[in-house]
Amino acid sequence: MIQVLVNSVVYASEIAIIAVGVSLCYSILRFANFAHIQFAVVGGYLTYSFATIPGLALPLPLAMLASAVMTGLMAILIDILVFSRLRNTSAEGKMIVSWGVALFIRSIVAAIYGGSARVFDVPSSTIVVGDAVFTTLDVIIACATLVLMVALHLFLYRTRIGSGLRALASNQELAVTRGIPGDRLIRLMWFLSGSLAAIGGSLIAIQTRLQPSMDLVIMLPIFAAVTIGGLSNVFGAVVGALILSLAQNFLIWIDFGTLFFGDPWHIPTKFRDYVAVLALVLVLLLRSRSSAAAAKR
Amino acid sequence: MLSATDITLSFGGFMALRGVTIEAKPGTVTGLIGPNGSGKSTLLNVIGGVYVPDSGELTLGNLPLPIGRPDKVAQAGIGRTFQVPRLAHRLTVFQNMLAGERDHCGERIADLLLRPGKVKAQEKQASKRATAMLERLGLGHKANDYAGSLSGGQQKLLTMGMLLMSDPAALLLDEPAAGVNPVLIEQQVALLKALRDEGRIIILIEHNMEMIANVCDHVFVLDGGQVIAEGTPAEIRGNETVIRSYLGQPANS
Amino acid sequence: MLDFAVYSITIIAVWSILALSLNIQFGMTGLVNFGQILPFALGAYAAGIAASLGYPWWIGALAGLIAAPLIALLVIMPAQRLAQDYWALITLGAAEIFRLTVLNTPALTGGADGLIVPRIIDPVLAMTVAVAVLIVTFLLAQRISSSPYGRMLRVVREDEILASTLGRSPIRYQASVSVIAWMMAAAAGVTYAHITGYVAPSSFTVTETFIIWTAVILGGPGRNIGVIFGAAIIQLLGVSSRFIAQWIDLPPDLIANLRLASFGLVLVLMFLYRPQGLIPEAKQVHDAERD
Repeated sequence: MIQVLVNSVVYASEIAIIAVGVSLCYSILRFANFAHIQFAVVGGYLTYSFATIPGLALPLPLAMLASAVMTGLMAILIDILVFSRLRNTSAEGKMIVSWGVALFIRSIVAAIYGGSARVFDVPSSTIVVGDAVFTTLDVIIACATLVLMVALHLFLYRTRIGSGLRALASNQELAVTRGIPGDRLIRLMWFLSGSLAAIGGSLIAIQTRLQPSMDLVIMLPIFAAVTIGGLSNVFGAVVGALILSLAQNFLIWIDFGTLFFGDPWHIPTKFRDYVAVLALVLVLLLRSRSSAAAAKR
Repeated sequence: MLSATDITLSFGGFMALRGVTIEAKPGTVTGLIGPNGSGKSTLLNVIGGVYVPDSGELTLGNLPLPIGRPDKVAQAGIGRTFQVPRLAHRLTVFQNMLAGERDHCGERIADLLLRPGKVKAQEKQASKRATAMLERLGLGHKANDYAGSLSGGQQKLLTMGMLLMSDPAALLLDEPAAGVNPVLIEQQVALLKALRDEGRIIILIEHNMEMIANVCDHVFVLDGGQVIAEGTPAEIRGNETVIRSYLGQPANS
Repeated sequence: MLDFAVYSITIIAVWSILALSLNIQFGMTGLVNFGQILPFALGAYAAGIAASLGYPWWIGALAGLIAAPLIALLVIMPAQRLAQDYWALITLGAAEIFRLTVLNTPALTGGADGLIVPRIIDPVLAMTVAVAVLIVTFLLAQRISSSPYGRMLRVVREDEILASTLGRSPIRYQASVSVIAWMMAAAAGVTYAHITGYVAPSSFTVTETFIIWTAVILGGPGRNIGVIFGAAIIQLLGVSSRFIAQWIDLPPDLIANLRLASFGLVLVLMFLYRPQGLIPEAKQVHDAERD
């Protein structure tokens, strides 16, 4: 059982780092940004390049940092070129455009790097604790996420700039009339989202592998996590990622057979993917009952 | 007669309406006035089915009105306008008018595909009425312009026209004169009087006291979600409580 | 050269049907559907499964056309209580559930390998079939667009509360148009299956959904002939880029990715600079003399 918990925490960590960016964007700009997933992919590829290009070959942590900064800047650029001109467009419109941006980024990445998978060469040793087997890499991922989430929380709740972001999220017009520099903070939000996504994408790529189609693999779990936590609730996304991950892993692990019928039987592993999608759909159906009725007023 | 009895509604912890009772008779114009935030629009939204009250009753004639179903309320014969006019901006004025046609068989797929003649006939009838109504409102020359291109006052007239297409027994009007130039206001007043004389029930929210005095037979005054006074416009004008509430003091001080 | 023309027209016809199906849902009614590939795949798989079980083609076609609206109603039901961006996520989820189901039931659906479907061998016949289905779809879409029903769809798009104040139930219109749209897409799927002779999950991904979106936004949301035009341009870009790939001797994968990138770019640029599309929605002018 500890194994399940460990697996869940690690997976949740990777998802959470990327998911918070979606919530952050939604809380301030009020639309679901599908291009965000591509920030993670780009981040993974930039880390790879920084770490392996002969002549550059940065150590992995530095490569990730460089990738995070570059991806953050790319996110700002996208805001300048596209989303800042659409402030008055409906949320649906911005969503549709974000898909266009996503398609563009994904295709360029695939064009530059090719479709085949690459693997990171990361030394990692196995740790055994009781029944659970995991690697040092898993530990690093979980710790990194913890550190980043704590840092984000401190930033949002203990700094002036962070409070500005939260003010912007709760009431944009009011915040701007109070002198809070809306545009600059929005750019900052994009930088944060982009760089966090880059780190998350890099970690996923390091732990599994790097290929352009990884966006499809992570998209639904990320949006499921964000939805479970509440679309504009930044740390809700973290909770959502955890809940989703636990649900996925426990549902596969529980021996329903022995519980109900006496013969061991498990839900086949391949159904794990269903959990994310079904969770997404169910949560949307249940949650929005009250909030959408209020929103229509 | 349209009556709302003992309507109570709260949003979260905030009580928007506390036991409000009003009634409006056919062939009269009933005014609803009061300071901002007193609950006038909220009450209209309750009658119109946009909000569901916590308690209270709504009746039209002797029948209870559907609660919380704006489409059913409209089908029962109650039309309404909004403070900020609701229109299909990217459709023409004429198309907006036609959208007001009650029970158009052309909106049913079966009739659309199998009885094109019937659809065409109803469309023709509705077009005639729409043209006549637009002329009456002075918007005939704008028929083929996009509704979004009209001025604010013209848009308000258009929404009146749209609601009249369905020949409603009752009209709920939310600040028809707000932001409208005096000439158009006069036009609205003449229209309201004509509609009243046709025997319809009209409930009117307004801040324009001249219009209220000119057109209303009976007025209810709301403050803080309660009816604090009612009577003819003349009676209301001299009412101490009402004057105090408009000057910003609580109605029951 | 003639072969190329026949092939192009066939492909354009199929994608035009899909564009029309999204047009009546999004262009006219304002519903943001990110899962339009689902009914397309449903139609294609209905044809494929019927074929693999030995049934004649029209059983598969019928099954597809019946299954599609049923699923449509299932997916549209939440729309009443949900804001648009939430509903878009649900349609995305629905398409993904279908894809996963296909992958997980190889006995029925051939899994990742897909199914073989009896193919219309003669390319001209295939083209005729595709164009015939397109014409029927187009006529239906035009009838809807110029009718009181279409007018009310647009009112629902502009302002749902206005529609209810006028005595209509917006959800009824959203449901009925979705049923029609899904059936159109399913018809396209059945046609596609019999033209290519093969159905597999790899043909029905999210990317395909966005190719349909690009066609609609490019061509003119709300304008039937516009979205057909958009579909034609997109497909011509696709077909010609494959030619260029052979000519220039660049790897086809690279060209494919650059093509997709250009679609994404087109989507963004159109939204920024010409959201009404290349052929905008027509203004319905009323001639008072004719009444």
